[in-house]
Amino acid sequence: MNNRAFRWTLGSLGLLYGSFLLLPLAALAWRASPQILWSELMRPETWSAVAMSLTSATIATLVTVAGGLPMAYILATSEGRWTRLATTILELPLVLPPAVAGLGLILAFGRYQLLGPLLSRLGIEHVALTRTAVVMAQMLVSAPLFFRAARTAFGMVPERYLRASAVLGAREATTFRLVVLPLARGGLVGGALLCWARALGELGATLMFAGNLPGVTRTMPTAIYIKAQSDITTAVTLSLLLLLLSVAALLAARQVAGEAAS
Amino acid sequence: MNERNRHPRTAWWVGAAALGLCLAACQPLPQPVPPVGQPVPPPPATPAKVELLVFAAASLGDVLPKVAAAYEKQHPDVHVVLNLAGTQQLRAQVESGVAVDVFISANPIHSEKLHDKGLLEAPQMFVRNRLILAVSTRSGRVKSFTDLAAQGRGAGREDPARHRHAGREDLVRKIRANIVSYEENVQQAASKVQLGEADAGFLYLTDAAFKTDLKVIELPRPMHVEAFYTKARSAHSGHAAEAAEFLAFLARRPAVLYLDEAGFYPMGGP
Repeated sequence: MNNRAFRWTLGSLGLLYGSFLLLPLAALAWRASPQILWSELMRPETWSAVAMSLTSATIATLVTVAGGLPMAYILATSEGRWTRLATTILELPLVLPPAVAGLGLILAFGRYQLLGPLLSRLGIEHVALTRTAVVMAQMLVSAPLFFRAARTAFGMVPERYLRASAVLGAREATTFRLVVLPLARGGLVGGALLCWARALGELGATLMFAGNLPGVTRTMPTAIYIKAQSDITTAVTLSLLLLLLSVAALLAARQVAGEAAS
Repeated sequence: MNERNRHPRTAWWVGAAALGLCLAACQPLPQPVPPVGQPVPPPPATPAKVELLVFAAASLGDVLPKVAAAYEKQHPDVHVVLNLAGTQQLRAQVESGVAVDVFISANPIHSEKLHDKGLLEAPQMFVRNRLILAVSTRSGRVKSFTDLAAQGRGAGREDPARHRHAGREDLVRKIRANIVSYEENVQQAASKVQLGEADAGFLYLTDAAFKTDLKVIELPRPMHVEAFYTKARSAHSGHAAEAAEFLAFLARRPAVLYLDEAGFYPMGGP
C-alpha cells in the first residue's frame, strides 16, 4: 500500500468517526431555539444552575487532584501484585453506572447507613441531598479519569532522571518538585481537565445522591434532564448553553496550562 | 521489509472489521432463547395470535402485567403487549403515529387531547389515585402533616404549591421551605423516604403500596389532590373488538381486585 492509499484509508475512517461524534452535537444546535436561549439566559435559575455546575465541578477537581496526585505517584513508583490490585480498584468507578455510584454513596454516607452514625456523632446530620453531596457524586465518577492520567504521566518520567537526581544528592521530595512534577505537568493538567469536564456533565450519581432542588443542588445536567421530561426545546437549548460554556472553559484552561508549560 | 508488508494487511483487517460491523448492524436480532428447563413454546398455530398494544401510565406498572396475564388466560388467542411510560411520553408516541389499541392515561388532559385530534375514541373514566404524605418510619422525625411545616426534610416529584390549597397557602409555604429535593419521579421520592434521607415525601397512594419503612398519612381535606385515570380505545385500532373487550375486562374481576390491592379506587364513592 503506498503512502497516499494509506492516508486515504485512515482519513475516511477518521471522517466516519468524526461525523458520528459531531452529528448529535450538530442536531442539538439545529433544534435549539434562539428565543428560548435568550429567555433562559434572563432567568436567575439558569444562572444558579450554571454557577452550581461550575463551582461544584471545580471543587471536585481540586479535591481529586489533592488526593489523587499523591496516590497516583505512590502507585506509579511502586511495583508488585498489590500495586496492580490497588490501581485496578481505584479505577473501578469508571465502569460503574453513575446511578449505581450514587446508590453506593447513599449506602456509605446516608443518615442510617454505614457511616451515618459516625457522621452524626461528629455533628454532620445530613450528607445526602446537600451541596456537599453534589461534589461527592461528581468526584466519585470523575476522579478515576484524573488518577489514570496522573499515573500514566508519572510512569512516563524516565527512571534514569530520578536516579541521576538521587546520585546528585537530591532528596525524593526535591526530585519530585524539580524533576517529576515539571515533566509530568502536561499529563496532569490534561487529566485534571478531563476530570473537570466529566464532573460538569455528571447526572446519574448527582440525581441519586444529591437530589434536585433549584438554587441549591440543581446543576445544569439535572436542570436539562428534568426539563427534557416536559419541554424538549428548552432542554436542548440549555444543553447547547452547557456545551458552549464547557468548550469555552476548556479552551481557556488549555491556553493557560499551555502557556505555563512552555 | 517485513514492516512494510504488514501495512496493507492491517488496512485490510480494519476495512473488513468495519464492513463486518455494518453487516452485523443490519442483521435482525436473534430470537430470544427460552430459559433452560422451561418447555419450548410450540410454533404459533394459524391463525396467529392477535397482538393487542396497550399503552398505559407508568404508575400502573405493578398492576397491569397481572391484569394482562389474567386477560390472556381468558383469551388464549390474544397477546397483550404493554408499553408503560409517563402519560405525556405515551401521548407523544401516539401523536407521532405509533400504533396503539388501548390507551390508559393518568391524566385526563392527555387522552382528551388525543381524542380531539381524532386519534382516540372518547375516553372513559377508569380509576382514581390521590396524593398522600409518606413519612419515614426509619427517621420518625415527621409524624404528621403539620410536622413537616415546622421541621424535617421532604421530597417529592412536583411542587406542592402547584395545586391550589384554599386557605392553606401559609402552611404550604412552610412545607415548601422544608423540601430538599424534587425527584425525577415518584419512585425516587419513595426510595429517599424509605432510606430515611428524607423524613417525608409526597407520593401517590399507589406508589406507597407494597413498600416498607414508610407510613401513609392522608392530606387534610382542603389539600386533597386526586389523579383521575382514563381508558380509551384507539380510533384506528386494527383490533377494535379485542380492544373493547380489554376495556370491559378492566372493570371486571379479577382486574378490579388487582387494582384495589395496589391502592387504585373506583370512580364514584367518597
